[in-house]
Amino acid sequence: MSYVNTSKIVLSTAAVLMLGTASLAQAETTVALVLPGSIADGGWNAGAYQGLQALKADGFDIAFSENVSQADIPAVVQGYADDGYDLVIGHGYQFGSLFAEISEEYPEQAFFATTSAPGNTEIPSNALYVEFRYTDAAYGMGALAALMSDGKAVGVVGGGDNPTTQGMAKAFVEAAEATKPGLKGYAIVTGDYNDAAKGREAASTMIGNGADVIWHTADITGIGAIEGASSQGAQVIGMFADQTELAPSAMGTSLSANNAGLVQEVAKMVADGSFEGGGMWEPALGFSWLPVYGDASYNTDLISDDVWAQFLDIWSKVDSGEIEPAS
Amino acid sequence: MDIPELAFLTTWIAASVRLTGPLLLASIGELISERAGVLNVGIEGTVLLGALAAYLGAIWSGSPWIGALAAAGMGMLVNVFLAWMYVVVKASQVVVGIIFNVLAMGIASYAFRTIMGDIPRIQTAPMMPEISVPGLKDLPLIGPALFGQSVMFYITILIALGTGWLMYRTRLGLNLRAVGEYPKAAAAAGINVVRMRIIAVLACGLGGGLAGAYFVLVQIGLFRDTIVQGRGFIALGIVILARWNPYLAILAAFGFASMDALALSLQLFDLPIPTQALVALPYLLTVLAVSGVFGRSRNPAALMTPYHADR
Repeated sequence: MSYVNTSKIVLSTAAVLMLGTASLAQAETTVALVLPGSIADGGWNAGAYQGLQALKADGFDIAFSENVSQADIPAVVQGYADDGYDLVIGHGYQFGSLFAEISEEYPEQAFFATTSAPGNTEIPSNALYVEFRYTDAAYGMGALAALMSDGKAVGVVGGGDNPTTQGMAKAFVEAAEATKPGLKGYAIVTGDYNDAAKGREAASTMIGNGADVIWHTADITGIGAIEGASSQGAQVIGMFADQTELAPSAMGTSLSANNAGLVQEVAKMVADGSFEGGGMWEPALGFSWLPVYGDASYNTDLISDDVWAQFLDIWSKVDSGEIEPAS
Repeated sequence: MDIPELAFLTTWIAASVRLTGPLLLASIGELISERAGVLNVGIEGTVLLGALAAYLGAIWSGSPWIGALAAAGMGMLVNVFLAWMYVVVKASQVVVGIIFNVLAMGIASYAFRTIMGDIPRIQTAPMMPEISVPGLKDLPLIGPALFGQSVMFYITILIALGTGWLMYRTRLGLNLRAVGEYPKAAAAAGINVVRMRIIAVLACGLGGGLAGAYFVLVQIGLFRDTIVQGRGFIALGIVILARWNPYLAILAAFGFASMDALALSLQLFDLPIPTQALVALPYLLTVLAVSGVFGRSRNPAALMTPYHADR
């Protein structure tokens, strides 16, 4: 009896020691994530939450708040900062100028906002932002759409009418027309991120005028675009999250934002002391954006290995700066 | 420009017709209510809750028809509350309507999250079948617009025509209009004003609920609390433009939808017009409609006036 107990104690002590060495660096690192939406949205917020869960499995001490309204954001963020969290992550554009303002008050702690740095503002050395390289991503998708197309044209449905949307639309058109000479690139900006009916008609309009591959850069407007395009027999490319379920047989791939990876990467920088704020972090295109189709990267029924290889070639050239969108 | 004009026009007309459906259903509902003297600004909320009911009904039952039925039921149910406020309590119609829209938004978001929380985010509802007339559908210009629509579109047109017939050719329609013009005289003639107005507001709920079903079961197959996007309010403008006439409402709804579709279609040409200006087209038409540029129109005389039997 006593023999069994002793061996149990020895075993568990060994296990604790092994765990201890594995997560020694992370042992004291605490990470708080503030989300403007729900952890169950299956997109923007869910991705970041997955990253946080992975950190927890790696031994980080984590906390999060979801569905934090714009008005409550400052209080929630300051609450975590006052509690001494080593890293406070704000997930979205809502945190841009706030982090530039308050991070100075907590010089020992790190702040990371998953948006670009606010212009005309000095960024404190403990605040970090990220450059998603939206135009480069759009260029890649324009090239992929052109490679997938058997028709006369390909098109993109844009969301809110802002410089980012306009830039993405132009880069998509530019890439499509450069990748396959003679092919027409269309872009329709709906002016709205949340109007699915309008997204559907934007896609239908381009299909009626010869487009056979549709991509989108809009949340719910984009869901309508996918629905409209796939119901009319066109191929589609998803955006922001794995949207395979919307149209499994018409979807070539989805360009998913790797929010989980961003969250994990920055937390690890803080843990091993390599965190460096004061501006924008510019990760590789292939890190911020992942083409996904369920468990695979692309739909082999629509995209041949050869076409995918051609896309990856263009994608890596855009990443390295060898190809630079004019827009 | 290398876009064939014919393909451009065909696509534009087809898109306009598709966008007409929900606008027309909401407008017909609103029109019946206004004809009886009740301005229902709350129609935006009714459409939203109808959309939610259509989505849940369709995914639970697996049938879009059950979804449409659920939306119709939900529309009438929530309008029981509105009818009570407008007709029985005699509260300010505009204030009740606006507050109801805010309430409906909250209810829809909360209910959707609570119910769907554990289910994967993207679950498409079964959609209404499309009717495709072989041969005719391939006609240029009007083929896809008239002979390749969802079955719900044809039902919508029948509802609009049926409402016109009811309003101008039946005793019920005459009574309804009398209540909206001069309720005291109507009451003296033996019409139950309160009951007639309640029926009208419920009919508005039916139209609004079905408009919500249209978004979900014909256009996108999904529910989001933002899908209505002010189209209930656009229905208010359509009713004015149509001069409270159900037949004209078909044309007015098509007019609005075609402006919406044109804003999208025109972007295919490299026109020197900023996108913002194009996107604003339908709203420009709304402003023109209510400003009386298209001729002066006379609204039902007792519109927005609560009926007091004893005064």
